[in-house]
Amino acid sequence: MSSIIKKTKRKKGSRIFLAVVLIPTFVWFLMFFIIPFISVIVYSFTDAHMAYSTFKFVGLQQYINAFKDPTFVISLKNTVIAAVVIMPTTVILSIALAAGLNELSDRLREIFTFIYFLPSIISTVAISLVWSWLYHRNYGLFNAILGIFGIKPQPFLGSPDQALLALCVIQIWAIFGYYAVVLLAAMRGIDKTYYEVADIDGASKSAKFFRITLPLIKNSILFVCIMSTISSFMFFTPVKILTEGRPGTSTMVMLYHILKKGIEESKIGYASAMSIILMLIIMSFSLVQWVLTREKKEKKLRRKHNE
Amino acid sequence: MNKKKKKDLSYYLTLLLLLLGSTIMILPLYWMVVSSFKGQAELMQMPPTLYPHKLVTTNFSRVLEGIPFIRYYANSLGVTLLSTVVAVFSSCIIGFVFAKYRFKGRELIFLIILAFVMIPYDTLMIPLYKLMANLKLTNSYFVLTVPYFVNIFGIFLMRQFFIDFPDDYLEAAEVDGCGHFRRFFTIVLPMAKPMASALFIYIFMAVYNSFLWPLISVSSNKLFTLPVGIAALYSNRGTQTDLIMAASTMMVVPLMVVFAFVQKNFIEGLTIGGIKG
Repeated sequence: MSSIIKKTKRKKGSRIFLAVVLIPTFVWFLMFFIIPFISVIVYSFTDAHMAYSTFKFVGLQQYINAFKDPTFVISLKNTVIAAVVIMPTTVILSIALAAGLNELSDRLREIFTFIYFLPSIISTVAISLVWSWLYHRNYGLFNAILGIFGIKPQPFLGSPDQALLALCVIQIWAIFGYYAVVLLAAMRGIDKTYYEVADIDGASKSAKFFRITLPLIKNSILFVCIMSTISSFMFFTPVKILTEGRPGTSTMVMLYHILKKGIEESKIGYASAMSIILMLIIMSFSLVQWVLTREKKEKKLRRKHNE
Repeated sequence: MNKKKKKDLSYYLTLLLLLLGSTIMILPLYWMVVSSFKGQAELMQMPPTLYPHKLVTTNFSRVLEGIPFIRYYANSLGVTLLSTVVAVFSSCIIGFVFAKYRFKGRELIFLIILAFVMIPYDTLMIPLYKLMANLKLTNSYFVLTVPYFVNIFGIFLMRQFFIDFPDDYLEAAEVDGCGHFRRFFTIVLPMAKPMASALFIYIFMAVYNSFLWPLISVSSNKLFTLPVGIAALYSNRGTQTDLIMAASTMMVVPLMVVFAFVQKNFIEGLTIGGIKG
């Protein structure tokens, strides 16, 4: 009898516990995810403006406006250029760095990991400011170094041809050490017997790297590819602080353009439509990664099953 | 552990390349610190001096006098600590519930939460700002902290952790008549400590360095966090490199020192996310 009472009491206690945890969680998700997510979709079909509380539906007009807006098209183009520069460079550098770190003794590896990882803990604001000083046309360190080799001072951030590339360099410098640590963890997780077998077969060092290491960390490399692409599409801080899209529109990127239209010019509807376009681009990359890694898992399972 | 690696030519070549790369990594940071100790005249010298020939320390005091730097620092630390503590706690308790409690729709709700990860949060800034403005919540400590209180990645991580958590402990506590809340605080939470501390570091860095949302949601100088405050300093007095470098140094160096001491856990903590915050 008493155990039954205890059980119902327990059940009640568990209900209260669940309610106390799940109700605030739901409220938070409603406020900070569900409502903003639904409203960005709804706003994108309206002429919503910061200053007015009413809005009317305009169908696909905001999307049409976006592709008719030369600045938006340029920002899309610049963002794609940034991704095309940043992604492969980051991937190659981080693979090379991880492979190098993997060769070292524990102590040395720790020291070098520390050094290459440093930018990952530093605010991108501070990073941007330091680099702008390095890039300074008249007094910057880079131009001083170029001067030693007799090259005349470069405008870097001041030139429409160089600015975007100069910003990409900052981004690459800031993130590749981080991805190298991710890849290093994957490399160190590889079963040592693979290499021992290869040694018996007399495989060369490069053969071991290309035939064993790289294929076995394929998933991690794919992860780095996708994440660095996504981070290029979210490129914002250095642009906001250093160039504001200038000179001309040479460094105008999508997220900066969206926030400028939405926050500074209060065009909520228009900015929402552009947000949706950016969101769809980024989500398609995530989807690619999801499908690829899933396919691999399934294949592995099927193979196991057949054996 | 394993046998010593053979030190051939390629080993020394690797070491040399790593050293060269290290100078490129350290140079900007070195330049920031060195520049913060130079006077305006020495900063404008071409070719530049590699270290301050005349040590100037007034740059730092000028930053403290010129802008409410201490206030920004306190804002940043306060906001980050509060957000991180709440986020780690909520990750633990929500993760625990999804791992060990049975209730209607559990799998579906968890799948929906995971699907949210696919949405890049920066693309929700505009409607979020509009919502906060409608609720008259912009320009407050509320918008600087509450949006960080729940961390989807943290929930996912802690759920994975608690799934492997032995049921025996939980049942033993139940037999002893321990209530659900007490059981969570006295048994579950202490055991999650290693994972939770890695999560703490990860979220702390993400919030401390976050720039976009505080930039949009706060316009009062009194509420500025460090990244926003220093960005504002740059847009107002961008030509005063001595001030900018001193402010950046004051923001970055304390963190770097802490990093040097706890590096091992730190790097582990930061890579659990696989995403730079």
